[in-house]
Amino acid sequence: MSNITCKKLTKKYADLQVVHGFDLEVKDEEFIVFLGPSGCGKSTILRMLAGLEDITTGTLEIGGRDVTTAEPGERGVAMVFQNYALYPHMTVRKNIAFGLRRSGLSAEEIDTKVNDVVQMLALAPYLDRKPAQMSGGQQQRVAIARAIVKTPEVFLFDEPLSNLDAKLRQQLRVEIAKLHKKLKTTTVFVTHDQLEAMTLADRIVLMNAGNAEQIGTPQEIYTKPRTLFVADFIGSPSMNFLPSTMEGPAAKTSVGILTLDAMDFTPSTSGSATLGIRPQNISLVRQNDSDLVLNGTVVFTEYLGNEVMMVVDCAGTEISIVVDAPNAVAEGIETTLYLAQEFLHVFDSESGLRLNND
Amino acid sequence: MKAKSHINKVFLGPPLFVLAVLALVPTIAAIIISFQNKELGRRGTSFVGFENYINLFSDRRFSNAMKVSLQWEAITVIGTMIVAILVAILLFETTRGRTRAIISTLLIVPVLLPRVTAAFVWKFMFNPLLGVINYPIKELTGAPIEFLSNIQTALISVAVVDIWQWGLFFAVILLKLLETLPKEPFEAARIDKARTWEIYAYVAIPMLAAPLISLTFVKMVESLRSFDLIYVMTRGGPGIVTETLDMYAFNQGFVESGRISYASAMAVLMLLTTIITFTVLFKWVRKWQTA
Ligand SMILES: Nc1ncnc2c1ncn2[C@@H]1O[C@H](COP(=O)(O)OP(=O)(O)OP(=O)(O)O)[C@@H](O)[C@H]1O
Ligand SMILES: [Mg+2]
Repeated sequence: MSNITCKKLTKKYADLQVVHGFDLEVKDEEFIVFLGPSGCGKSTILRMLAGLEDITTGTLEIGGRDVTTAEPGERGVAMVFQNYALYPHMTVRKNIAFGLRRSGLSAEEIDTKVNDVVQMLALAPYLDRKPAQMSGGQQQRVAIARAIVKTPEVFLFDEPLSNLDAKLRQQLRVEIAKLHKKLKTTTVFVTHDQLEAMTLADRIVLMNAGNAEQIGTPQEIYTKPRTLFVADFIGSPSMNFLPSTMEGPAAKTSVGILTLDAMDFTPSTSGSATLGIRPQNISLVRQNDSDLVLNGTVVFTEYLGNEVMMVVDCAGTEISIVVDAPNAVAEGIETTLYLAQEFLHVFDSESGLRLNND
Repeated sequence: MKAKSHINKVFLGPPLFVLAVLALVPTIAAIIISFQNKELGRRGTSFVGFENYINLFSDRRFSNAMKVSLQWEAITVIGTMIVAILVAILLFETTRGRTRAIISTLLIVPVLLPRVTAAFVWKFMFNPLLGVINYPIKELTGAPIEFLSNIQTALISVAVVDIWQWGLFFAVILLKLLETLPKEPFEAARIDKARTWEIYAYVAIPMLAAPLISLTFVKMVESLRSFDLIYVMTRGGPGIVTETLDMYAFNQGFVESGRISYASAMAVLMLLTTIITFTVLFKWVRKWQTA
């Protein structure tokens, strides 16, 4: 069992507090992704798990053992860094074997283990090369091999794919997913790329300014964003937001009064709410009788391949929508938008919390 | 391109010419004199071929000077590098910010002292009657150690001064080099269960191999020129225990017998050995580094 329990973790650099009471329970074999904007504290928390940063207050358990103050080498973790962090003067073989040597295994045991991971990651041709003689992708594979070979209780990844080009990033992402299927090692993976988070995670921890804004499966995070921040951060292009004042089911917005008669939500206490809908959930043809209707003029289109993103000006408010390429409407043409109420989100404008009852 | 190389010559020509005159003229003069039998206070010289060189090989005092010079090189170079590495690591591990800056400044002071000054300061400190170093020794054992006139300790004691000057200076250079290293390999090593000494021995120091080798070469050349230090502290004594090659050449040429030609032959041999040794070493290191 290698579950991770974070209880009220905080981190302070002198007077600057960057993590505020972080709670998380990672189950054994789970793949957790920390997702969030730059500077929100993802790396800091990961490094606290690794023991590379002191934990200011709170407790950390790995596999049921309290490791709040344990040395990095004593926590049973292995880490892969964004810039590979290989030992530059050692060959690939020595890089991979370094940790095993420190833990005092016999030469034969080390050889067998190294050969196993070398096989797994197809590194055999590079064994006698030094890091500088390899591409970034190859170096990162070596770093992953160096982590795997120790058969740790927990893998920690800090943006391991960020320095690679798009194609390689996808390849290695798939490789990491396969490795996790096979090895089932509990993993914490930091990224600011939503695609990586969505595809790899069992659960995503969406971070904002040193707090976990929402913890949930990729689907939960996408379909039921707990707050405005999450709704805005996840999804591309980002969600459309319409600030409004509510009177019963009638929402007074800059594009007119919308009657939310087919929705189940708790009215906001302040009376001001923000409506949110993803560009993918707006249609150019009526799907349901309850669809909300907006009229506007297309001001901008962006060709995305099989889809087109259109920006439509509705009474001065710009709404973006995504439609299949053949259905796209050219710039300058007037059109009607149909908003499906089942995909509409209502947020309290003050607290930012989602008010839908589902 | 053409014009540029032309300008190179214009600017480099004069200084190269001056250098050539300054360096070559005395060297050629020394070579010529070494084949003669010139002595101070004696008129008339004639060419004697290789006689001076042949005599050197049967001169016991010459082979002693050779041995002392080699010992001096080995002790000061190795001692300096070890002290530099240990002090640098100690400071890197235990200090930061302002404290580190202040200590670094203090460590550079010894090498800024003129060597003759450093030599006199330490000569007083080693003094059996008044020296601070002997004070605790006298308290403990009742008798002082005569560091500079004891056969066993004389060379080491002088070397201590040299290492004090250069080891601490190199420690500051190394400390700055350690600061420039990326911190991820250190962190990876900590997660890989490396103990502190293992992190330095297997990760940090190997990452600094190239600058460490350069520093070693600098110190090897520098150690060849320790005449002033040894002269002030022991004048080659006791006996000839600290008499290096340059000291012996100086003694033969100017102090004891005025045998200018004999001393010149020694200087020429020293020059040859140095050139050959360093050429071989350079080639060897370059080969090792590209391997
Ligand atoms: N050594 C430090 N001293 C002071 N503040 C620090 C230190 N390290 C990080 N911080 C601050 O802590 C906050 C969180 O940093 P962290 O590196 O965890 O962000 P991140 O979420 O990993 O961002 P990125 O996606 O850019 O890597 C930042 O505001 C940063 O400025
Ligand atoms: Mg980071």
